[in-house]
Amino acid sequence: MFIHKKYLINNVNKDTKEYKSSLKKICQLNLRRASKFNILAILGALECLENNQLSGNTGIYVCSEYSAIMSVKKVLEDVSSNNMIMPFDFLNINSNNVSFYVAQALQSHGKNMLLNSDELSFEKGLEVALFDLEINEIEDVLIGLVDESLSNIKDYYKYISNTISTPSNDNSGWLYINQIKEKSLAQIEFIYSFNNLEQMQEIIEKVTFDVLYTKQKSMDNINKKNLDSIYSIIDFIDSEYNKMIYVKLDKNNKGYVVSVKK
Amino acid sequence: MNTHCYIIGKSLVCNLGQTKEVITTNIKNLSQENYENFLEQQFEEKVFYSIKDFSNSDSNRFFDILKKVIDDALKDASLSINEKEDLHIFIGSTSMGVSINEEQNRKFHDKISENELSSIGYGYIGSYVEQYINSKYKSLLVSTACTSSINALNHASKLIVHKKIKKAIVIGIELFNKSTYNGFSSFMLLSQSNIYRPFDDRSDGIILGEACSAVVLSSEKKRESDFEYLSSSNICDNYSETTSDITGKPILQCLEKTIENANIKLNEIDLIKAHATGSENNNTSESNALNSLFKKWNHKPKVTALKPYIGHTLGASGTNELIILLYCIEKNFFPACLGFENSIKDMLFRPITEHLEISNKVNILLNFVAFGGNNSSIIISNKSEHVYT
Repeated sequence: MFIHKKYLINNVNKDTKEYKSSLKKICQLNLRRASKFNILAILGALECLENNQLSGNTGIYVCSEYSAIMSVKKVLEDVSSNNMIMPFDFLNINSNNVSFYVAQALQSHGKNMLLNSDELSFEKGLEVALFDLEINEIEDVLIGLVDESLSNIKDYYKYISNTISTPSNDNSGWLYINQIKEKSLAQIEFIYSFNNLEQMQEIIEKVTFDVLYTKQKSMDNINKKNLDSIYSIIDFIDSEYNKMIYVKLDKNNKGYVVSVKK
Repeated sequence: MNTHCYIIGKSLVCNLGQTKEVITTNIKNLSQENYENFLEQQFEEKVFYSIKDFSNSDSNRFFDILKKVIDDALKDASLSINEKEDLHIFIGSTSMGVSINEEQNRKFHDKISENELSSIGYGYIGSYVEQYINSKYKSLLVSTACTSSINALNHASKLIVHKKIKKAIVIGIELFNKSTYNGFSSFMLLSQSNIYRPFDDRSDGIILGEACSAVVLSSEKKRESDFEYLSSSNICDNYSETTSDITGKPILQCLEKTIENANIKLNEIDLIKAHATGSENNNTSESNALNSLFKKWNHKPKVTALKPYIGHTLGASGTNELIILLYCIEKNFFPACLGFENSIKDMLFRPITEHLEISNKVNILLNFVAFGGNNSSIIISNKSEHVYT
């Protein structure tokens, strides 16, 4: 599977208006009431594609650890205060709206969905997307890891696992993938899951790589970079290295090894 | 070379009960004549199909119900300890754990707790199930609104068919929460008559419900009567966040693709379980799709709808309605579409209005439609002669 395009938004917490302003330049949709989570996703997806047309059957996979948390929090406050829930607030907590908006903005008619897996949302989403590609249910994959900053939630770290790299940042990272080698940026060689550290070690010992991306402190390597997930793939594409693996684990030592080469 | 995928275990907790016997007895006892009385009893507290007998806090209730359906499905599938550890986990829901967050936020406002949230994100639900059944594998939570659990099931089935995995448990969960209830109300989508009447000319909207279900899938049959997954399709249209293309074309496309993928003809389908939310948009778009399908094949299979029994259980409706239908088939009947009398304008078919006794094995097509233009359908069969292509 070949990566053709990539894009990353990784900012300190910005106001939604700033993203809307950027989006207005490249998107005609009326997104006045859309949440920051939705705006971040659409902006990242559109920038990733750089105005290129999608095939008629592109699968859109939005992965997220926290989904539309700021919209959810707003509605929770309304419920606790016995306030009415406004229609647009309800739409914004309907979390798969994010993939719908991306599909609408791209005029895509393929499948779209929001996927989540505790601490491994992107990896699980990538596994789903590559399977759909492998069985020819779709022709192309547009996959993103999108999470808005949690910094407006007091003591947010109390409510999260050891998840994304920078939970206080706005994150929207995207890859466009298909089975065409020509003009690709990189190739995803494999995505292997493991259930414990022994299995992880077995996988790593069998593969060669120039650079190891992981946030695991216990894993030593000369060329180790403290990144993982979609951020590591995007960093690798821009790097001087030719072959990478990244390793990501959850708190129970389940995880994935992903290999990408140029 | 592909393999087969069978439904070898199932369980459901809903307003009608917690076992196949109780649920099917309740369904069998319902008719057009006593339907309105049934609804009056259901809606004594609020116009909502509620699960009884789990009256703890929202958090305890959520996990008690979840554990109950997992335990029952695993028991039904007669899995060994090793087989349980080999289960891959798929969860579909619209609201996930919103009810738990609502409870926590209320405690915060009442100054009972310092925490305003119970969690950020809902991945913990999957981690909970992983630990509860001691699965080796990482769970996947699918959010595609009302098609969440059927999409989870379809994905799991395809992974089995393509030999990527051998076994899976698919869970659909949707429990009462004010965010969803009040949200639907704000869209004025809820019935004012409090009588659920999908496709009927007096139909006036949705009535929500809560239910939780689990389906165990395997590449190996456990019982002769186990249903087999034949095909599915998921087609999205971007007509609107909340409504389907009124022409029904994307729904039709999804149904046709599913029939094509199963390599069967429409006249081999014994029953279509429509999504049938009772909203004006769904009544029109889904009936238009079915009209076109029936015209094209010059054949009208039996059609029914199940939301009049358990309400619209949103993201969990996929596995919930699948199990209700399987329960009824195991008791040798197709359940009637309660509340239906006269078709809406231009509808060219009539859903079954009385329970229909069946004696033969059957092919079933189930259709689901969701916010965000997410359409999914699935064909299952207990006819053993089907050959994969």
